[in-house]
This record gives sequence, C-alpha cells and structure tokens, in this order.
Amino acid sequence: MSDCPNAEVRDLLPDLLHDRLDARTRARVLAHVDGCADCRSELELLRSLRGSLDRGTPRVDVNRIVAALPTPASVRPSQHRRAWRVLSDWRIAAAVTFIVAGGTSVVVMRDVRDGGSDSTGAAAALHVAKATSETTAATGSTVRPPAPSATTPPSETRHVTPPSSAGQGSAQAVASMNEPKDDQIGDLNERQLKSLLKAIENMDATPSTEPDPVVLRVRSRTSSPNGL
Amino acid sequence: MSDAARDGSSEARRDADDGLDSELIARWKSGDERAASALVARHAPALARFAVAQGERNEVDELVQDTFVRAFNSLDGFRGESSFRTWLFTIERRLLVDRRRTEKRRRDRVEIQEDDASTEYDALDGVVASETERRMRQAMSRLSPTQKEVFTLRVAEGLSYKEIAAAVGTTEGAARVHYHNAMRAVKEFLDE
Repeated sequence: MSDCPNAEVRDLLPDLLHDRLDARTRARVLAHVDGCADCRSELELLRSLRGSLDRGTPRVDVNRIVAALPTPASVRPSQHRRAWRVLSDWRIAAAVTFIVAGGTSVVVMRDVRDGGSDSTGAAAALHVAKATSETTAATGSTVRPPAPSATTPPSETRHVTPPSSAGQGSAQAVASMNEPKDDQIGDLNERQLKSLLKAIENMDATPSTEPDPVVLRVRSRTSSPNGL
Repeated sequence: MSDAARDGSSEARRDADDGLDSELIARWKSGDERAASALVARHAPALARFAVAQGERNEVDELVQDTFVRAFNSLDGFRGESSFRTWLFTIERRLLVDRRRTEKRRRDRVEIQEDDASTEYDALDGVVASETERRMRQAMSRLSPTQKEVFTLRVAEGLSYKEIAAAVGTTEGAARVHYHNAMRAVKEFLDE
C-alpha cells in the first residue's frame, strides 16, 4: 500500500470520512480520490479501521452512568467556599488601600523635600510616613518609609564665583547660610532677618576682578532662603 | 490545510454541536437532570471507543462513568475554550494514565511492551469476524501510546488536529506528525 504524493488531500481523508469538509473542498478531494488509487485504498482503510473500532467497543449503559452523576445542587459551591471568597475580596481591598496610602505618602514626602520648606506639609508627610511604617511593621511587610529630611542627602559640588572684595563679607554671610546647620531660617529673630536682608542688598551683582573659582560643598536638599 | 478547509457547513455543524452541549449544560445547572442523560448519550460511545482503542477491555463502562462523574463535578471549571467532547477526552485520558500507574504499581510489572501489545486483543479475537479486522486491531495495538491516542481521535472521531492537540496535550504540528507516522506504521504492518 503506497502513499499518494498529494499530502494535502491525504491529510483531509479523515475529514472526508466524517463529512466535515465544506462543499467546495469536499468536491475537490472527491475529484482527486476518484482518480487516485492510493487515496481510494487509504480512504477504504480508514473506513475499515473506524468500523473495526466501532464494532470492538462494548455498548455503554447510559442509565447507569446518569444514575452515578452528582445532582446539580450537590456541585454548587458550599457556604464555606463562598464565605472564603468574601473574605478574600476584603483582603484584596485592604491590600489595595494600603498600597495606595503608602504610595501617596511617598509622593508627598518627595514633593516636600524637593519643593521647599513647607514645614507644615513636611510634618504632615512625616506623620503619614511614620504611620505607614508602623503599619508596615505590624503587617510584616518589607516596605520602608522614605528617609527623613534630617538624614544626610547626597552632596554635590558647585562652582561659584565669589563677589568682589567689597561684597565679600556679605557673600560670606550668605554662603554661611548654605552650610548645614541645625538652625533654620525660621529660627532667626526679626533683627537677624533684617540684618541678613541688608547684607543681601549690599552684595555686588558682578565681581570687579576675575577670581579663582572656589569649590563649595553645599547640601543640595537643604532648603535655603535664597534658593541656592 | 485541513483546518482551513473545514470551514462553511462543517464548522457551522460543529458550532451547532457545541451550542447544544452548552445549552444542555446550562439546563443541567439550572436543575434539569434530563439534560445529563442527553449529554451522556451524546458522548459516551465516543469515550468508550477511545478507551477500547487505548487497550481498555474490562472496565470500559467504569472508566466512562468516572469520566462523566468527574466532569459533572467540575462543570464550573469548564470555560468552553475547547468543545465539551474534547474536554471529556482530556479527563478520560488523565484517568487512563492514573489507572495505568496504579495498576503498574499494584502488579509490580512493566507496562505492556510494544512486542507484547499484539496479544492485547487476543481475548477479543473470538468475537472478531474477519481476519482482516483482527489484523487491523493488531496493527493499531503496535502503535505507541501517543500515536494510538492521536490516530483514534482522528480516524474514529474525526477530530481536527487542533482539537486533538488540546485533548492529548501537544501541538497541532506534533499531532499531525503522530497521525501520519501512525498511518504509515499501520500500512506497513498490513503489508507484511
């Protein structure tokens, strides 16, 4: 028994046997089979194999099988499973709320640290972050709160041009304010503030000589009144 | 090729079959137990044929029954991604594998070797009408387990390669290769 070289038609012979071809394909395959002895014998073999399997299969007792089947009511989800589903839903909702609250506090903290010296906002953000970290500790999560502003941020180097000799004192006064200190602008009294403003007004806009550049290390995240 | 050609009326008929199964399942879920009888009557003969072709002889009824019981117990998990019949074949196939494993452990013997497989049908030979038919069964019994599964589903049930792949847990391409290798092996045996 040899194989027909037309692999496509051979592939379709079981579909022809089970009448699963559309009319056009069926006509095409039948036309080929009519003129091909190999395909005719293969189709006949398929028919014999199918009949052989059919005849060799005992008849199954449908009623006995149906009697053994569960009833529709018995396979419905139990109360326990439904309760577990409800509990799972609440757990998912709590997790989502926790993630959203934590994420918001981180965003607020970053905004406060980057954007200015709004101590009220920073305090509120710190409070939220602290609350978040406490909740995290309670739930055993590994999420960490953002570092507080008192910790040392990464420093950066800036090249600045010092003012003229006439304004050096004022410049030093201003530069000294950029040094990391525990005292903030809010801690100065009215007289000190006036003196500081006066020193700023006395600063020269342009230097009188070309000075050597000096390097100052300043805290990039430290808030300062002159925005340096 | 084959799947592309099976459009039009044949696909419409298949869709109608799937639609009928879905309707019967919905009716059974809503409490109509007669729908279960209809589903069993529609698919039990095919499941029995598949079991016999895989070498099951004595407990075909039991295997088919177990397949339906398991299927009805997990009907909530049936999403209709394949046809109901394909899903039943998948369940029956797993049950067959489990049974063989259990039997193998219990009897502490190796699985039937391909050379021994020809004796698998000897018990039935008394009722086999013709020599040709006996030879055909012998030819089928010499196929590898996967070839036997694919060949049976293609020849006896007319499943597409896509459906066979879903039932047997392989790819369409692999199913096609298994089918053609099986056909070649059967022809060679019959030509001997």
